[in-house]
Amino acid sequence: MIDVTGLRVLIVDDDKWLVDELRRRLTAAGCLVDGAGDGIEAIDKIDQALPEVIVLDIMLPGANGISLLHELQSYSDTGMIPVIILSSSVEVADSKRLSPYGVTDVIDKATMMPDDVVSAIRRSQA
Amino acid sequence: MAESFEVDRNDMFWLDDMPSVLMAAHELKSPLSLIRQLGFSLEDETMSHTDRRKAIERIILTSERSLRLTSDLTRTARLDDALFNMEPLSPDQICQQVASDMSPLSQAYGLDVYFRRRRSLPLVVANRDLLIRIVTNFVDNAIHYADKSQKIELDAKLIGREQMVRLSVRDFGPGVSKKALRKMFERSSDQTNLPTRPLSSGLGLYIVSSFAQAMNGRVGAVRHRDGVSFYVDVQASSQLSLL
Repeated sequence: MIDVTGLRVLIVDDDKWLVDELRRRLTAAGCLVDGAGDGIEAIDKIDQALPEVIVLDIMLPGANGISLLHELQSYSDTGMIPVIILSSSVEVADSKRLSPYGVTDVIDKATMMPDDVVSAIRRSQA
Repeated sequence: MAESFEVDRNDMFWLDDMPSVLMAAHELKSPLSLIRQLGFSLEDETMSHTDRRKAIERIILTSERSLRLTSDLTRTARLDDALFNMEPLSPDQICQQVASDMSPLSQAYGLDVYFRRRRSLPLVVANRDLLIRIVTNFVDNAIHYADKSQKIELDAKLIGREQMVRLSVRDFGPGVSKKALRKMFERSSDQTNLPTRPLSSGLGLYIVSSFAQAMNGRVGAVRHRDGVSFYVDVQASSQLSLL
C-alpha cells in the first residue's frame, strides 16, 4: 500500500463542513491537508504552497472546477498535479473528457465511502 | 466601487445550461451527501466526544437546511395557484426574526448575524411567510459563502423615490475581481458547457426571485470588494405615513 504520510493535499469545495470531514480523514491517514472554498482561494493557496494532490469539487461559486482545471493546465508546475474530482454532479462530469486535465479519479459524493478519497489519493501516487 | 444588478427568474442563464430539475437534484444531493458522510463519521470509534457532538449538530442543521429548500421548492411550484395574503409588515421585525431563527446555523459556522436597525422605517406590504423565506435564503447563502469569523449584516432601508423598502443581507466573503473571473471564464467557455453558479446557489436565487415577483417585488445583488449583498425590494406601505 502506498504511503501518503506527509503528502500535501488541497481540498477545493464550497461545503466547509465536508472539507472539515475530509480533512479529518486525510489527516488520520497522514496527509497534510489544506482547504479552499472556491477557485480563486484555491489559486491563492497553490501559489503559497504547491500541493501534491488536489481534491476538487466541480460546482464552485464564482468559477467552476473546470475553470480551475484549465488554469492549472496552463502552468508547467501545476499542470502535473493529479486531480481527484469530487462532485454531486458526476453525471455531468465526464471522466474521459476530464482525463486530459490530470484527473485521475471521479468520485460521486452521493455514493462515496469513508476510505474512497484516501484510496484515490493512493492511486494517484502509483 | 460596488456593482449592482437585478435578478429575474426568467433571465437566469444557468437555467438554460442546466435543466432546473437537475439543478434541484444537485442542490438536494449536496446536503444529503454531507449528512451521509457525517453519519459514517459517527461510526468511527476513535472520534473525540467534541467531534462527535459537532457531527450530530451538523447533521441536524444540514437536515433543517435541506427541509427548508424542499419546502421552498414546493411553494415555488404552487405560486401561480396560490393566493397570498399581503399585509403591512415591519421590516425590522422580519430581519430580527430571521437573525434569531438562523443563529444556531450561523453560530455553528462561527459567524455573527447582525441587524443594522434604522430609524423611521415604513412598514412594507408583503406576504410575511414569503418575505421571511427570501431573507432566510439570503442569510443561509451568506453563511455558506462568508469568510470564517466574519459577520453577516442584515439591513432594511427606504430606497429612492420609489417608495420601496430594501431588505438586504451582506456577507464579507473574499472579493473576486471581475478581471480574474473574466479571465477564467474566457478560458473555459469554448471547452466546456458545464454550468457555473453565478454568485451563489442558483436554485436559491431562482426561488427567492419567484417569491419576490409573486409580491411585486424584485431581487438583486450588489458586489463589493469584500463580499456580496443580496437584496429584495418590496413596496412600502402608504398607510405608514399617516401614523
